[in-house]
Amino acid sequence: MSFMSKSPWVIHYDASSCNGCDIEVLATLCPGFDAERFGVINTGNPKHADIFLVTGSVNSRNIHVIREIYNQMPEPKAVIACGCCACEGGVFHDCYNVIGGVDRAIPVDVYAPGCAVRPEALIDAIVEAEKVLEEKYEAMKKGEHAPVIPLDAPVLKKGA
Amino acid sequence: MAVKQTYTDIELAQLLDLAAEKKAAGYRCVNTHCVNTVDGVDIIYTFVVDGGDDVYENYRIKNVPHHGHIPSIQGYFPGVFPFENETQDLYGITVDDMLLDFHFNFYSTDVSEPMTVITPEKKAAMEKAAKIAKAKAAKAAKDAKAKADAAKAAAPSATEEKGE
Amino acid sequence: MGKATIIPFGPQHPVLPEPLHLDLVVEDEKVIEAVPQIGFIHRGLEKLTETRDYNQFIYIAERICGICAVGHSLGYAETVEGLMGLEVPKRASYLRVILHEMSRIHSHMLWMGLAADAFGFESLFMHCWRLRERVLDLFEAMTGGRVILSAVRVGGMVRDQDAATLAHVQEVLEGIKDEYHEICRAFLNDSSVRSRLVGVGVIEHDDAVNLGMVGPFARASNVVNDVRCKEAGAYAELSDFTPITSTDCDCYARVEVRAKEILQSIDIIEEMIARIPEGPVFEKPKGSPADGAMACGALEQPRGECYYYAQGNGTKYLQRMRMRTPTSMNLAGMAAALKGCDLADVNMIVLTIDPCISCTER
Repeated sequence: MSFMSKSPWVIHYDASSCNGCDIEVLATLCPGFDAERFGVINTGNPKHADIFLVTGSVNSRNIHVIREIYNQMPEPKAVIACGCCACEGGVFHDCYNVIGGVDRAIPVDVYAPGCAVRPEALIDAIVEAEKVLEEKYEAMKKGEHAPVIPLDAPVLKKGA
Repeated sequence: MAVKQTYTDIELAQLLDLAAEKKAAGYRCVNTHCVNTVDGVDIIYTFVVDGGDDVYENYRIKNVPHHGHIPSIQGYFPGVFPFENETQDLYGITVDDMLLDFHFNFYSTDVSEPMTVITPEKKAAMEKAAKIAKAKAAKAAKDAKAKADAAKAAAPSATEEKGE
Repeated sequence: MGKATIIPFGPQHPVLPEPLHLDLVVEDEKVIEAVPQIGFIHRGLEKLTETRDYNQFIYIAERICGICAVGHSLGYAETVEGLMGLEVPKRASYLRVILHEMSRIHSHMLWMGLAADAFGFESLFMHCWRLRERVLDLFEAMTGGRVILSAVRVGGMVRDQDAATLAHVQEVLEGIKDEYHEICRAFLNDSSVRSRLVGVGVIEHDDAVNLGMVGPFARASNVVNDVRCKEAGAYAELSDFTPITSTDCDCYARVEVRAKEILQSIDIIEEMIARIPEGPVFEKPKGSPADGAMACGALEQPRGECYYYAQGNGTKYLQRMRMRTPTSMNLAGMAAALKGCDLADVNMIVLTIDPCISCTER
C-alpha cells in the first residue's frame, strides 16, 4: 500500500439530501465510530481532499457545484456516493426536480447504500475508495488522468 | 385531539384588510400555501395568536385564475417571503408588491410551475373518479325517486282503506 | 469609510452541514445586509402525494429531513388522522411523545456540537456527539434505525415497546445527565465561549414578534411560543408544561434555551414512561379521506412550530399535503440578525437559528 491511500482526507457536500446521510457522515468522524483514528479528516478545501463524499439525489442547481468541487480536487481522487439517494435517487427518484443520483453529474467510484447510510458502511466505503486511489495512482504514473467535467455538460447517462 | 382550527372562505379583495386586522390584533401569520385545482388555484392563509384561544384560523381564497395576480402581505408580515416566492415559482401566480422578491428565481426548478402540471395518469385518475361519483349520484337519485314513488303509492291505498 | 463588497457564503462551507447561499454585503468587516438564496435542496416532494397513497406518503414525509424525521412522521400522521377522524390508542400517543422528545434531545445535542465547531471548540463538538451516540443507540434498540426510524404510521405506531426497553431508556437518559452537566458548564460558563456568544446576533422581542419567529430562536427573545402549550395531538397527554424562555435575545440565550430544553425533555420522557397505560398501539385506518375534507395540525419540533395541512379528494391519494417547517419562518429572522454583525460571526449567527434547509425547501 503506497502513501497515497493512507490517511485520506475527505470533503463532504450535501447535494439535495435530507441530512440523514450528512449527519451519519459527521458521526463517522466523531468518537462513536471515529474514522479520525485512521487519519481521515474532514476538510473544507477541495484542493486538500482525496475523497469526495456526496450525499443526496442531486437537483439541477447542484450539478455545477458538484462538478466544480470535483474538478478542483487534485489527482488521484475518488468519489463515494453515500446513501440510496446519491446512488440512484432513492425515494425521490420520480420528483420533478431530481436528476437521480450523483453519477449523473460526475463519475462515481464507490456506492454506499442505506437510508440513512450507516457509519459502518461508510468506513467500508472509505476502505474501498483507498483501493481505488491506489489504482488511480498507478494509472497516473502511466499518464492516464481523470476527466475534467465541464460545468455545463449535459447530465451523464446512467452508469457512466 | 387535533389543534383547534377554523376554515373560512374569503374573496381576494378582502385579503389586505384581513392581514391588517390580524396584525393589529396581535396575530402572527403561520403559513400561506396553494392548492391546484382544475378551476384555478386556491390560496390559504393561516393565522394564530399565541396564548389566546390557540385557534388556527385558515382563510381560503378560491379559484384564483392560473397566472393571475395577488397582493403581498409582507408589508404586515415580513416573515412570509419564502411562502409568497414559492407561490410564484411553483404555482405561477404573480405576487405584487413583495418586500423581498426573487422574481421567479427562488427555487430555480427545471420544470416551470411544477405544481400546476397535471400528468396524464393523474388526469385519467381524476376523470375516473368523476365518472364514479356521477354514477353514484345518479344511482342515489334513482333510489330516492323509487322510494318516494313507493311511499306515494302506499299513501292513497291507506286513505282508501280508512274511507271504507 | 470603505466600499461595499459582496462576499458569497456557501453553498459548500465546512461549518454548514447543508447548502445555503448568502450574499453578504460587507463594508470594512461589518455585514450591512445578507440576502439568502436557497434552492439547492428543493426536490419537489409535495407533488408525490399524486403517486403515493396516504399510508405510503409517511415514508416520504420522514425523509424531508433526517434530523427532524420523527417530528415529520408524527405531524403528518396526526394531520391525516384528524382528516379521517381517526382516534389513536392512548399507548400510541405516549410512545409518540417519548420518541419525539428523544428526537429533540438528539437534535439539540447535534446542534450544540455544530455550534461548538462553529466557534472553534472542536473537542466540545466531539463530546456532544459522543453523548448523542447513546441516544442513537436507544433509537436503534427501539426501532432498528439510528436516524430514519419509520416508527410512526397513520393509526398509531409500527411496533410496541416493552417495559424492559422503556426502563432501559430511562436508565440511559439518567446516566447521560452527569456528563451532560459538564458539557453545559463549558457552554454556559466558559469565558472564551461567552466572548463569542454574548451580545452577538441580537434580535429584540418586538422584532422577533414582527418577523413571526418560532421555536427556541424566538423563545430566546422572550417570545412565548410553543405548540406543546396548546395541548393538541399526542402532547395532550402531557400534564404541566412551561416553555423555557430567556430575555437576553442574543446567541448565548439561544444556546441556553436549547441546553435547558434537553433537561426538560428528559423529565418529560420520565413522566411519560411512569404513566404509560397498557393497550394496543395501532388502530387500522379504514377507507379514504372524504372529498373536500381539510385538516391542519401543528407540532413543536426541535426547531420550532411546524404546521401541516391535508386535503382529501375521496381517493386514497391526498389532494394536497403541505408541511410548513420552522426554519422557513425563521429565515427572515436570520437575515435580520446578520445585519450589522462582524464577518467572523456570520457562521455563528447562521447556525443559531438551527437552520434545516432541507426542511424549508422540501
